[in-house]
Amino acid sequence: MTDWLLTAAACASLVWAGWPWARGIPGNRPDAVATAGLAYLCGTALFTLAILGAAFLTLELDRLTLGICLVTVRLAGRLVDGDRPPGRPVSGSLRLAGPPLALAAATLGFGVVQAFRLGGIDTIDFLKAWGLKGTSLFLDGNLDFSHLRGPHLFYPLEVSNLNGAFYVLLGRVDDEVVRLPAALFGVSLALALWWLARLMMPPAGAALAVALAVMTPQFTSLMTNGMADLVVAAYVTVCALAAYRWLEDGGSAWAPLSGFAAGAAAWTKLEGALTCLVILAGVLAVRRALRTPGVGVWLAWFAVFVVPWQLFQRIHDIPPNRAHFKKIYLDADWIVGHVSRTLAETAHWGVFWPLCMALIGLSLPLVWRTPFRRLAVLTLPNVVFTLGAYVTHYRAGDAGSVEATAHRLYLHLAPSLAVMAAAGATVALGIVCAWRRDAAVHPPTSPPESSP
Amino acid sequence: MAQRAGGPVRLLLAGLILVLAVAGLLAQAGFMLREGSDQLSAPTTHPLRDLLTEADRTIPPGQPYAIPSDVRADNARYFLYPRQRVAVAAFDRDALRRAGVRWVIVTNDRRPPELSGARDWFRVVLRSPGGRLIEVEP
Repeated sequence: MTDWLLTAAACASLVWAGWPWARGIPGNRPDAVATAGLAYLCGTALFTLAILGAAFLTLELDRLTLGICLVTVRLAGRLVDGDRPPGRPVSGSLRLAGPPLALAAATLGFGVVQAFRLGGIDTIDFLKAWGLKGTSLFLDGNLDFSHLRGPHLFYPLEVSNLNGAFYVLLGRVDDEVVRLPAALFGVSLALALWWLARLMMPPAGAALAVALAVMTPQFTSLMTNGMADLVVAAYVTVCALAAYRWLEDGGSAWAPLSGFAAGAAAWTKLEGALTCLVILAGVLAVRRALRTPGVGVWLAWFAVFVVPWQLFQRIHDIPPNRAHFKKIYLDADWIVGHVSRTLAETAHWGVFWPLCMALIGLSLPLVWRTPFRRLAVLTLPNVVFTLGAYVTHYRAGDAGSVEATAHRLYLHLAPSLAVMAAAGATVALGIVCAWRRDAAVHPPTSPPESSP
Repeated sequence: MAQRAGGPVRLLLAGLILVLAVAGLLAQAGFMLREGSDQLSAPTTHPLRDLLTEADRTIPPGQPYAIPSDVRADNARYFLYPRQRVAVAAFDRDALRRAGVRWVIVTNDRRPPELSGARDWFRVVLRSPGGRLIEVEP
């Protein structure tokens, strides 16, 4: 029980550390609930990066050092402290938003309950990388990974540093309680998604986006199984939606949040870097200019998270990725068959993919003349890229390996796709409401009876 | 965002999208109920974890180990960190002694015949549903 309380308190302290960043980085000041979600995402990313900074200084990674890292993150938040105008959500009735929000809350609640009851984590990537490197941080007090061999040492460190920090705090390796900080990434994603979606659409649409995003078995499973993919999904979603605000805004106010989330995604998993660079390419394509306002700050935040780890790997002779992306596999029949089978697997997704694709496809003619079409530019290239490129490049043609990975990679994009589907439903709802309004103002009249 | 109703095709399409969205959300709720029920009724025992946790307590710090299963070697590496795994060509007495291996973790997915049952050149230190920890006699 004490371990759980300590873990919960440490999670709260990560929110505390990330709070000024969550208030200062977005283009508009978020409300308190959204700030809490963003603060957890910012706090964990910066705290784990600060641990790498301490390792650069060859400090022993003990409780004192980690405490200093946490306080440094909080104090450094003053750098981005500014007076942002509060975000103005799109108006609309909350009544329709209630049921989807209740379903989403129940799903997230289930995920958090699972964190408390499942016990230790036995997923293979946790044992090979995320948990093992956390254990190494705790037992060795550094990030050299000198006792480790194997092909996973190049993995970025957000998740493993976070695990290691909890082990240091508790004084032992306890992979049961680290399910809680993992689950909170799912909750944070939902809170941030709700706020960012509310700036784009009325409550019913935003609630549908959140509900679709979280209500899949894959989402709840990855909330607690020690993998990094839900964490990547959280950052990729924030990156994409902030990029949308960046395009809508016309200036550069939202570029820092998009760039920060892109950097954090890259700091979590290699695929996060590629996905977020595609999002940046989407922004540049819409703006039709390489020197668009905000690109510099986007790239600067990206570099803040990417460059130190690349340097550290070279200094400590940590071998680069040698296992993946070595050859190209281009059997179109196999790829199409495999991708479609994977997307249709109800055990992982329910009907999420067919549903979202149908909603997006049907609403395309309605959405195309609205600002929502820019969501397509920020989301669909990555869907094609992820669905296509990973089967063609990742352990090419090895069905077992692709099968084990595909669902996790698809989750990176699922929340963004849910927002697109909800945007289509929002436009459709607007049309139906307009028809009802018109019908109320001009009720159909019967032809006048002829007088005798 | 204010919309105009437009023609009947547009209205029909909008209605279809809304019906699909509501039906899809209800279907997802059904899948989540099934998922919740499945997960809550699934056992949360970890026999292999129990074996390896106990092995971590038993094997003295710094001493290497061997494990026949390449699949479970990742599990062992995590639980026995920072002890190193020793690669051996075979799991008979001579090969293990030659490699200087004292501790062997035999998991259920790969049990070499030489390490099954009882022999006079090793003793079974731990026995669990996840497998056995064997100490090779010097």
